[in-house]
Amino acid sequence: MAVVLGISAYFHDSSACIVVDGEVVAAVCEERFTRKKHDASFPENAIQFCLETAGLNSADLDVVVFHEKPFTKFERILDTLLKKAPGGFRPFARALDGWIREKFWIEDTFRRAFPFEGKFQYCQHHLSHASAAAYSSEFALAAYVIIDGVGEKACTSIGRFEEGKLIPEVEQRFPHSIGLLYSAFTQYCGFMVNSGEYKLMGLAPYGKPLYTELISEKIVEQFDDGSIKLDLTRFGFLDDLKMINRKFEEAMGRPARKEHEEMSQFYKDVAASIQKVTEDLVIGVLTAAHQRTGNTKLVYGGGVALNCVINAEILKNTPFEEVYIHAASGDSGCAYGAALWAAGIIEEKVKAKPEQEFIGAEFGRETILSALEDLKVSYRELSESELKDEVSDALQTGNVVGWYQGRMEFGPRALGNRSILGNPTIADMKRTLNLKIKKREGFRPFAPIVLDTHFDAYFEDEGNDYARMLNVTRVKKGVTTIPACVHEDGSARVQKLSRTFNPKIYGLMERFHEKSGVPVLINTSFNERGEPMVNTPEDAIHCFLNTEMDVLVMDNFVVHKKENLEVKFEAKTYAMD
Amino acid sequence: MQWISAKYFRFYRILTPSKMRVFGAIFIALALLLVWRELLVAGIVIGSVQLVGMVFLPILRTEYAVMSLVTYPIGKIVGFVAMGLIYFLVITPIGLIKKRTFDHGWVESTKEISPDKMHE
Repeated sequence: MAVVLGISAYFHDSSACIVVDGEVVAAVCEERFTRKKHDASFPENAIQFCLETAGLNSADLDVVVFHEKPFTKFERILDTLLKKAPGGFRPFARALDGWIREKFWIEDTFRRAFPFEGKFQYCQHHLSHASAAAYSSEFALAAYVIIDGVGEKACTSIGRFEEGKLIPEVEQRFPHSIGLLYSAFTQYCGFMVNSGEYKLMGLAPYGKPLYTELISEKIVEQFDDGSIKLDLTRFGFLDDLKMINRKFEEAMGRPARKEHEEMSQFYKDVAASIQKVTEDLVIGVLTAAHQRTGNTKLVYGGGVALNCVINAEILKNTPFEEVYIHAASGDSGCAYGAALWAAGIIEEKVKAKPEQEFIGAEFGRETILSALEDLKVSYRELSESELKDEVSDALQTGNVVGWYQGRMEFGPRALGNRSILGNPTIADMKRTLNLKIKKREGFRPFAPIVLDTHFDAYFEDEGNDYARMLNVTRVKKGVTTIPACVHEDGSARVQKLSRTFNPKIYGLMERFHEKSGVPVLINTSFNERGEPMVNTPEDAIHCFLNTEMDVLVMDNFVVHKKENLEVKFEAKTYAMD
Repeated sequence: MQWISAKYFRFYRILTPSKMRVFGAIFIALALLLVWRELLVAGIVIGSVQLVGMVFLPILRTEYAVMSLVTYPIGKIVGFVAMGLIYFLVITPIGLIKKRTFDHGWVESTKEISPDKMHE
């Protein structure tokens, strides 16, 4: 029996994953335990959880693998500073402090925290991303493309996946990065880098792409071979702690928007423009990857692969005929990918399944019951059928429902086990969800979940994989019954739900469909703004009490807010992300 | 205030019990030195606190956390100055004689990745 533990840490979204005999047993992000969103610390809790789930202890591990090569990354940082000196003291001071304190010593930190005599290994960052996607896909032969901010040195990588092995071909190195370009515009539009990129994507449909030419002329250039060149004089990340500098603002003609400043039409147009420019750049890279590898199947990963608007354009605009993207294609999936990569060296066959999304923590009936009792919450336990009836009735009348079931999803998307559900037929539901719970910026859409048997009646099928909320599509013309989950431009980041993928929520949606005639619900992650997705029953109860959520469903237990107004709990305010 | 409190508790928990006792032992040695230099009262007080702390660790932890908190700003300043010296006296001169442009375009990736290497 070969046991491999993958870990990622010290950038953002630290995580751990355990693979036993080539099969993924568990994976989870550290933030779910520490309750700090995008937690970058050493994932001690996540590792402990993985070991417990596998029924093993650290001494049973054969290999522990880190998601990147620390010295290669440090060499890139040092090289950048040498090229920018005497500018760049601030990033130098910050980087050196972090590297000396923790980043060099990941192996020591692990061995101190967990007794372990086995091998400690290192994957490459982009190979971690590529492994996560490739081993989870069902492809035997495929091209792989990874696009993110930066790994060790590579910002974009192209390679092949053949007979269970990844073969790197070429890479585009730092600082000419599509991910960093998008992050620069994220900061320019007043959002936080590494967490606000999806807000920029959500903002884009409110604007017109008026500045694409300006961006292509002054900020980024793409060549026929798909490679890109940034005008580095306009970026701050080489010698400062900011993404952009004054010359970037001069090029755009206006200063960067401040975080809480009103969102003017100009920044909406900028968001639309950079979305279009990035889309063209990605399509250029993917076309180059097809030319280089000759494959018609693509596995695609890295942070940029979380841009579901661009993902939806791949089949339409490149020669690829099939695409697979892992749900945790950002850095949260790197531990998962690194573990599969190391397992792929040891094992003949690695057995990650394409629908293996629910590999996080699970809490049984007794644990949930105990949490409800401890917090003195009034609840009722219902049969399966009663539960579907009561919850679909609540949804029909406009209640917001917290839905907490089974094993937690791995990755940033709630796929039906840690979800907040709402009725999309109520036009005001988006506002209600925002006011009561999510406290998001008003321009951000909520995603629909639809029964697979009714997908075609509501949404255009452009041939993409809609199971994991990784692609947007257009709502069909004439569909007016689900206004609360249709974005400004008539698109939706839909989850097409099959019974086998998640039987429990499928059953609920069937009952909701019987009662309302609508096979669609709003599905958003079970958390409030600034809070990681709920993990334990206590987290779920706290989120329920801390917000104005109407109903909480955990396993077959139903809790109504109106019956629990007097429950005492420690109210919490989260830092806005 | 919240920052100070967070730092205090971090220092309070940072050492394992065995390392905490090593910290206590160093101060016992200091106390013996004071006694030898005929500073009897100081030596006995410091030594007694450490001996009690060896049995009841929260005393040593509090002592360690308070000392770390007091010396933290000094460490920060010294660290900052040291980093400045390294950056401007070592990094900058080397940087000025090195190639200072960033290449673009595709480069061949390393084909064989060794899992045992931290750098390649």
